[in-house]
Amino acid sequence: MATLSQPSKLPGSGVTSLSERPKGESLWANSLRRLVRNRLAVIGFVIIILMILVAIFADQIAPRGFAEANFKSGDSAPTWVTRVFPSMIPEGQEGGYVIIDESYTLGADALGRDLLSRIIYGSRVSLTVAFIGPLFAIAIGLFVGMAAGYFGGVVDNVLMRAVDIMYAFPTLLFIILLMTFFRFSTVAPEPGSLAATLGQFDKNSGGMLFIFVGIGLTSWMQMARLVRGQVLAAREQEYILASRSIGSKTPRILWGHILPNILGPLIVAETLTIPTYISYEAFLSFIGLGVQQPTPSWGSMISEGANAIRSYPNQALFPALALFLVMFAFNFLGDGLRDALDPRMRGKD
Amino acid sequence: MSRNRLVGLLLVIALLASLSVGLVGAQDKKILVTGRQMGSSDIPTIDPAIAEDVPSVQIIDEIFVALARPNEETAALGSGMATWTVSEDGLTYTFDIMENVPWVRYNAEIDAVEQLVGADGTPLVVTAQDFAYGILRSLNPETAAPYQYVLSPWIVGAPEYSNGEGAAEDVQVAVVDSNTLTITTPAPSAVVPFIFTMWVTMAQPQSIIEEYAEFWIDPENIATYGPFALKEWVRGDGGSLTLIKNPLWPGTENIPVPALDEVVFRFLDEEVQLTEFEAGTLDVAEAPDTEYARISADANLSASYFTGPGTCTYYYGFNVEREPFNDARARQAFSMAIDRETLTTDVLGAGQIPAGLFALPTLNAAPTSETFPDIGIGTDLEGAAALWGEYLAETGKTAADFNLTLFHNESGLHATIAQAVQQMWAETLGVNVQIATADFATYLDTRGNYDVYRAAWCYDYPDAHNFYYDAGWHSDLLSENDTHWSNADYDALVDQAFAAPTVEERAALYAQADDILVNTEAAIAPMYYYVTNDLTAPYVTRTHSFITREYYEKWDINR
Amino acid sequence: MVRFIVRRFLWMFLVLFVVSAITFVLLRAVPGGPFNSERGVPAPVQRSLTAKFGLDQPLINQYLKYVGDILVPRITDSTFKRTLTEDYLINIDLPFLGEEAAFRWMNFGPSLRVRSRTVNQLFLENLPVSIQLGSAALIVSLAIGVPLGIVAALKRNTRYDYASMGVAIIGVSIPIIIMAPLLQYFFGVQWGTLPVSGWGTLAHMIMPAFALGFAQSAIMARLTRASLLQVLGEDYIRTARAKGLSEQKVVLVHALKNALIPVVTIIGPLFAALVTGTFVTETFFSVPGMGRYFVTSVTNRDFTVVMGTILLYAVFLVLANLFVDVVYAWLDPRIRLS
Repeated sequence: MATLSQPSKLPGSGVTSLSERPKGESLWANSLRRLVRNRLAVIGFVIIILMILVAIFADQIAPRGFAEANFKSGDSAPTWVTRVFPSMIPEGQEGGYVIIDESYTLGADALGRDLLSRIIYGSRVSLTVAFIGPLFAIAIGLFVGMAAGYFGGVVDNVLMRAVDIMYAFPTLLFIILLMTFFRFSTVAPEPGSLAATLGQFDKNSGGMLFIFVGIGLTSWMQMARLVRGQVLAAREQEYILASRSIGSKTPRILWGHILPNILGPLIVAETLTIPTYISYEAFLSFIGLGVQQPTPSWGSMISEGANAIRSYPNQALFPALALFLVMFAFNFLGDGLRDALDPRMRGKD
Repeated sequence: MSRNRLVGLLLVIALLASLSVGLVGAQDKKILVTGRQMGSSDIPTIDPAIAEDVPSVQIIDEIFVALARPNEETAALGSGMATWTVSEDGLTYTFDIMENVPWVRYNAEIDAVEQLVGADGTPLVVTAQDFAYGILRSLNPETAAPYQYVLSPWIVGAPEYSNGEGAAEDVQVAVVDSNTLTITTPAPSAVVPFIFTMWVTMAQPQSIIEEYAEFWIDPENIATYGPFALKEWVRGDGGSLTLIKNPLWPGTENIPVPALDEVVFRFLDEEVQLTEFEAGTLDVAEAPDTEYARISADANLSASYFTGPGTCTYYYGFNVEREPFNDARARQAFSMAIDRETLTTDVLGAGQIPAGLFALPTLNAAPTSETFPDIGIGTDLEGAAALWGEYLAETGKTAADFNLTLFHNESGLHATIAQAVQQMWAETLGVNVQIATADFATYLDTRGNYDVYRAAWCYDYPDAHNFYYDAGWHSDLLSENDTHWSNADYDALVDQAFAAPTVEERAALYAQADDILVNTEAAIAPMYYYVTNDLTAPYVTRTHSFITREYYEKWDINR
Repeated sequence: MVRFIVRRFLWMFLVLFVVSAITFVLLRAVPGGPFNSERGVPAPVQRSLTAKFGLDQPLINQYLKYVGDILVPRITDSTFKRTLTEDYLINIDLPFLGEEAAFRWMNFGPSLRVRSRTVNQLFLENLPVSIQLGSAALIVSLAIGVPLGIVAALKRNTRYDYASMGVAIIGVSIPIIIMAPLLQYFFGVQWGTLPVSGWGTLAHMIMPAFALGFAQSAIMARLTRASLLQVLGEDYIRTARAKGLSEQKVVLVHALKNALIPVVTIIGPLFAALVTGTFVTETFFSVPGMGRYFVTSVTNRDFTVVMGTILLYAVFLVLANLFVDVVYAWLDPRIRLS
C-alpha cells in the first residue's frame, strides 16, 4: 500500500527538525512567530475563538430561545434584509409577499423562530463536531498508529490491514449505516438496557451523540496511518535509540520522546480535516439524519432553508455564511499551521 | 518521465469524461411535465400487478386501461375498457369489453408504435382472457403483489387463492367469450365498480410476461394497449420516462385519442421543478408549498398557478394502550388543542384545508362538514384545557407526570408541523411532548410503540369505504392499526354503510362512524386535507384532476 | 509487477469479504424492512414477499447465498431464463458446449424496493453516468486547483498566494446545497445560458461538474503548492537555475513534473469519492447516477442495493489505488512496487 502511507511524501514532517533548530529560538517559538506573520491564519484563529465564545455564551448573546416560535411571524424579515436580497419584495408592494417584522435581526423561519438566535445556538453543533472528530481521530488513531509503528511485525500488519479495510468503506455511507444502526436500533428498546440509555442520551443531546459516534468511528484511519509513518521514521532517530539503550521503557519512549516530535504534523492534518467533519454534519442534515428538531444546527438550517431559497434566501444564506466563515477559518488556520510547522520552510521568509 | 505520457493520460481521462449522448430532436406536440408526487425518484414499476404508489399508477393508467375509469374532474364512474351490467342479486358483474383494441409496442428502429403479432402471425388484440389473466396474476401469491389484499375481498374465491389456500380455478372470474367477462363478488355493494378502476384488474399480456419474466416492462419488451405507449425510460433517480401517442388506440368518449404526440415525465425535486418552470424548460410542474407566498404574489406565476383538492388526509394517531391516551377524554383534549386554522394558514400556508373529519370531502359517499355540521372534531382551546383538567383532576395527576413522545418520519414538513403542534400542546395543555424521528422504514416498523405518531391516508379508489375500512380502523385490520384502537359500533356502522344501497344512506352512516373515530373516541386527530398545487404554462390546455392521476389524452399544447 | 498486481487482487477479495460481512450485519440489525409501506402490508403479503426474496431464511444462509450468487459462476443451457433473481452481470456465450449454452457470473440480486430492477441493471445504467460526472468533476478540480497551487507556491506568502488559496478554499467552504440552486438560478433562469437540470449533453454536465469539482480544488491546490515548494528547494532545481535556464522553464519543465506526482496519488481515492459521493449534486441537478442509491438504499432498507453499492465502492477504491500505484511507478522510476 504505497500511496498514502509514505511519510516522506507528506509535507510537513517535523521529525528531522531537532538538529536544524536555529540557535536561541525554540522550535515552537519559531513556529509561532511564523504563524503570527501569516495574517490570514491569524484572522482564521480569531474567527474560531469568537465562534467558540459565541457557542459558550449562546444563552447570553441570543436575543431569543432557539425553539421560541411565533406562527404569525413565520417567514418574516426585517426591511434591511429585503434590501440586501431584492428578490424579497415586502408585502404591500406589487408582487410583494414578505411579512416585515423588524424585531428579527436576520428574519424568521417558517415557524417564526429567530434566525439569528438559531444561528448562534447552531454554532454549538458545528463546533462540537469540529472538535469531536479530531478527538476521536487522535484518541483512536494515535493509539493504533503508535502501536503499529512501534511494535511493527504482526501487530503492524494486523492493525494496518484493518485500517485498509475500514478505508474501503465509503466514509459517508459508513456514517449513514452506523447512524442508522445506532439511532434506530435504540428507537424503542427495552427500558433500562444499554441501548435505551444511549437512545435517551442521544435524544437529550438533541441527536448529537450518534452524529459524533458516526463521525468519530470513521475519522481515525487517516490519523493512524499518519502516526504510524511518523513513528516509523522517529524510531530510527538517534535520540530514540539512545533512550532505549539507557533502558527507557516502551511507554516512556512513546509518550515522552516520540509523541512530542510527531505532534506538529498531526495537528496540521486534523485542522485541515475539521472542515470535512463540519460538512458531514451539513450533509447528514440534508438527508434527514442530522440533529433532532428543534435543536438548531447550521446544516439543518441550510437544508431547510434551501427548500425555499428563492422566496426567502435569508433563511438558507445566513446560516450558510456562518458555516462558510468557520470552514474558511479552519482551512486558513490549517494552512498557516502547516507552513509554520514545516521545517523546510524555516528561515526562508 | 516524459511530458507526453502525462498529457496522454490526461487526454484519456478527458475522453472518458466527454462520452455524452446527443439530445433527441424536438417534436411537434411534446410536453415536458412532472407527475404527481413523482419528485426526483425513479418510478418504482409500471407492472399493473405490483404497483402500489401514485407515480407508478399514473404511468400504468395511461398505457393500460382498466375496465372502469373514474372521471378525473368529478370522480364519477365511467366506462373504461368495458361497459357492465349487474345481476339482480347485485353479485355478478358482466363486462362487455371493447373489441379490436390492439396490443402495441413502440419500435425504436422505425420510431413508431406498432401492433404486436402472435406466434401464429395473427395481430394481437385485448380480450377477456387477458383481463382474467391480469386479475389472477395480481392475486397469485407468487406475484406477491402489495395490493392483492385490496382486491381479494371483492371476488369470490380470491382471498383463499391469494393466501395460498385455494385454487386459481375457484376464483370467480369467468371468460364467457373473447369480449365478455363475468366476476362474482361476495356481497352486493355500490363500491364494487370502483374496484374495477384499479390497476390490479387491468389486462396483462400473458405471452410477453411468460417470455421476459419481470423484465417484461422494459420498453423493448412491453406490450400495452392504452392511449399512450412507452417510448423511453431513463431509469434511476433524476431520470425520465417518455410516453408516445398510441395511434392505434380506437378512442372513446371517456378516453379520446391523444392530441399530444409525446409526454415526457422528468423526475425532479420540487424546488428544481419550479426553477425549470421559471426557466421555461418545463411545461407543467408541481409547486412547492414553501414557495406558495411568492408564487401567489407574482403576476406571471400566479397566472399559471392552480390549486385544487388533494388526495390525502394528514392526521395524528394516539396510542390507546398508553397513558393518558387510554382515556378518550385525553385524546379529545389533545385533538381539540391542535389549532388547525393556525397550522394551515400560518405554518403551512399553501391552501391546505383544516380537517374535522377523517374522510376527504371529495370522495364518493363521504360525509362533509357542510352536509353534517354537527359531527367531527374542531379546534377548541378552552374546551381542550377544561377536558384535560377534568382528566387530570380525576386521575390525580399533573401534566408534568407525563413523558410523551410524538413520532414522525424524517421530512422537513413533518418536522415543522410536529414542532408547531408541540408548542400548541405546551401552551394549551401544559404538556411538554418530546419529538422523535426516524427514517421511513424504522418509522413504519416502530410507530406503534409511541404515544402519538403522524400519518396520512391517501385513497386508492375514490370511495369513502377506502378511508373507513382499508385505512385500518375496522377491527378486521386491527393488526395493521398502530393506534391499537377498535370499536364495535364503528365496525357495525362501516359494515352497514358498505351494504347500503344509496350514496345518501351510506354518507349518513359514515358520518356517524367518522364521529366515533375522530370525536367521541378520538382515536386519531385529523389535521388537514392535502391540496394539489401546480403550475401550467399558458400554452397548455388541460384538465385538472383531483383523483391521483392526470389523463394526458385530454391535454393539448399550442405554442 | 505482475506479482504485485495479483497480490493486490487477492487482497481485494479479502477486503470485499470483510466489508460485505460488516455491512450485512449492521444492516440487518436495524429495524424496518424493504417491504414496509405506509398503508401497512398484511401479513400474508409480507410472508410471500419475504419468501420470494429468501429473507425468511436464517441470516447466515442469506449471506452465504448472496456471496455465492456473486462468486460462483454458472454454465447454463437453453432452459435458463433471465429473471429478477437470475440476472448475471457477465454473460458469455459458449457455442461449443451446445446451443444457447452460456457462462454466467456475478448475480448481485434484485432490488428489493424497486420490484422490477436488479442491482446489475443499476450498475450498467446508472454507474456510467456517475463515472462521466466524476471524471468531469475531477478535471474541473485539476483545472482550478493545480494552477492556483502553482501561483500560490511561486508567489509564496504574498497576496497572490493568499488570493489563490482563498479562491480554492471558497470552493470547499460553500455547501453544494447552496451553490447548486444559486448556479441554477443565475445560469438557468436569469441568463438562460445552461439547462437547469438533467443529463445527456455536455451543457448539462457543466454546472454539476463545476459544483462538485470546485469543492475538491482546495485539496489539489494545497497539494500542488506544498509539493512544488518542496521540489523548488531540491538540488537539481538549483542546478537547473545555475545552468542559466529561464525561470519559466525551470518551473514548468523541471519542477512541475515532479511536483505533480503527489497530486497523481490522490486522484485515485478522489475519483472514487467523486463517483460515489455525489448525492447532493445528483439530487439538485437531476443526474440519473449512482450517488443517490448510496443514501436511499439505506433508508429504504434495500439490502441488496446497499450491499451492491458498498462493494462497488470498495472495488473502485482498490482498483483506483492500484491504477495510481502503477502509474506512479511509471512516472517516477525511483519507486519500486513491492
